[in-house]
Amino acid sequence: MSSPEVIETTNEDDEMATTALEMPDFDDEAATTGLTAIRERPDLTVEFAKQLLTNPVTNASGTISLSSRKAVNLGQFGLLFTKTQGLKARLGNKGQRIWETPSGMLNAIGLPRLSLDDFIALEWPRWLELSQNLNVPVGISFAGESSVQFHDITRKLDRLEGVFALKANFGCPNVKEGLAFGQDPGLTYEAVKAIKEATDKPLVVKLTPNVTNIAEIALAAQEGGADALAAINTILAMDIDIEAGQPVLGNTTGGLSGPAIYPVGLRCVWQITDPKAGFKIPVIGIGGIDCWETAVKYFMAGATLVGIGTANFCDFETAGRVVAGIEDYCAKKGYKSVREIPRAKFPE
Amino acid sequence: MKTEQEVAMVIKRDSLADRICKITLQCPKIASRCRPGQFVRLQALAQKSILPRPLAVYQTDEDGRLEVVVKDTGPNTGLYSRLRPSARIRVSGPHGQPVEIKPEIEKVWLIGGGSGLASLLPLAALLEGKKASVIAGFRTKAEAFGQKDFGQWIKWFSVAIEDSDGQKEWHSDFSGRASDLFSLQLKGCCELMLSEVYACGPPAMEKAVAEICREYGLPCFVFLERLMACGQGACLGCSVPMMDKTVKYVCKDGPVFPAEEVNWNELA
Repeated sequence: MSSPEVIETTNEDDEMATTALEMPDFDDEAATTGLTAIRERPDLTVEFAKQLLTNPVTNASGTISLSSRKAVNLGQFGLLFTKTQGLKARLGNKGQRIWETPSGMLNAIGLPRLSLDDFIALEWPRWLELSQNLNVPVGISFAGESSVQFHDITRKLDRLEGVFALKANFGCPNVKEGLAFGQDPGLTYEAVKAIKEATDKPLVVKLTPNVTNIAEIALAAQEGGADALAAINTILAMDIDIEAGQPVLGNTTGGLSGPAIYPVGLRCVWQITDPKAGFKIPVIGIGGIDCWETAVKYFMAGATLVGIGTANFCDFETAGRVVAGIEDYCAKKGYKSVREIPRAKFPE
Repeated sequence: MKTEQEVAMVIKRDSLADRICKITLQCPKIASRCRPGQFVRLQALAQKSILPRPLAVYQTDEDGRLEVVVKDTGPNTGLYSRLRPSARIRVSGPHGQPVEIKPEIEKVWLIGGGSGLASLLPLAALLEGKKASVIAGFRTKAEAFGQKDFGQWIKWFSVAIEDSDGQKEWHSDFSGRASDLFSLQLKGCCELMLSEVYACGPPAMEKAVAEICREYGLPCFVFLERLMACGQGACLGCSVPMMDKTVKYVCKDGPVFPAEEVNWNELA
């Protein structure tokens, strides 16, 4: 204990304990508890895809799996989405799949998954059971390699009982064109039409930020018949190991996520919810949310729901903290409902 | 088994060797659930760092205390190594699958390299009534630790020092690698009985031990370390390529794998 490297000032220890852990300020908590007794708590319910959710917090696809239920209290979420499913089984990428970067992480996992038939037979019944036990609706994220494949997958998923919504991951490449669906308005429109022809279930289109103009893609999805949008998927990125002189990821490039990307997510959500630009459908704001403050920023940018991704890995109680923080914020501001959080005043 | 998360209080920190320390945490929910082979994750403390770091569990007790062993190699492990008593830190665990040693196994070798030795101590406690031998390999003598702690359960504790200066303060001091000492011990062993080998350390050491075990037909189990994000089998980042072309994951299937099932050539 007499090591000279011991941090000598108590301030640093205190800061570590308070800021890093976000320990409650006990005086404030007491004050809030006092208010609870005399004031009605804000309503956190949100209507989404014509159904009522208990709160506006969902997860980014791929960050919660069935095995997460052993660690994360999934009942904290208002809505859950599965990992991205597809027609054929995949093992995922070889080599290093993840890497930490400043305030974020890179991933190039490569969508490991069961085949669609196995997912339907083996995994979906377990999701459904989880959904019923927790009373949290579950949607299925999926991706195809062509519009025809998106259509075919949708037809199979359409027959499943208990699916809250389908979420089409448009960050995956179109095999024929080599582009991600969400990187071209024409491909986006065509694929959304193909999906909607095969189902009446609500369709959420997940958009990639790796485009010049996300609004153009979002409009194409809306015109194709999407019921909602989700933005953003991860940002294409890479890192290099300077000792080895090679990229850190086996796949060379990967998707950047984590708190580092929330300003990009906010900008995209703001762009694709602007009523003056003709946007009418709700948006799930995703990207770097690890606290209620960032979630509120997404609401102010125009999001109806918020999705937590990487933060589910870092703190298993993130969703609960975010929900509680949104509720306290609404109470403090005098909003009776989370739906009253206004869009920020953006210059004309 | 449920993975818990709790805010642990640091009770004390003890130096074990050069840049290696033991942190005793008060985290009763996790301590009571941890089984040999499993690990915990500590909240990232370094600025700009977000992912919790997996750490070996050294010992637990019935009073809710849990010891982790940290080697100061980077910004987070550096800050863990400076945690003071009464500091609080978020801990999750147990992660991974526990190790079970079958009753019919008669002899067990525990082979640790550097701070990797720490993961093997909980296994030592399972070996009552069996013949057991520890081989602890360190790069220098200044990094050596563990003899007293393993001595609670195991009599045979041999140390291999790669850069040995010839001093013989430690029991069975050996100049060379842990795998070389293991090989030497096997050659002098008249009867292998029903044996198993557990290795935890740098990949090169584990691979060398696995190769020796293959030659002798000994079952070998290795503790694998991979960069990890979720610790719950969700992100599928901590992949381990297997010989049968499947992929397993350190956080949900490991961290202990049969060495012969791991595709060492594809393990990045």
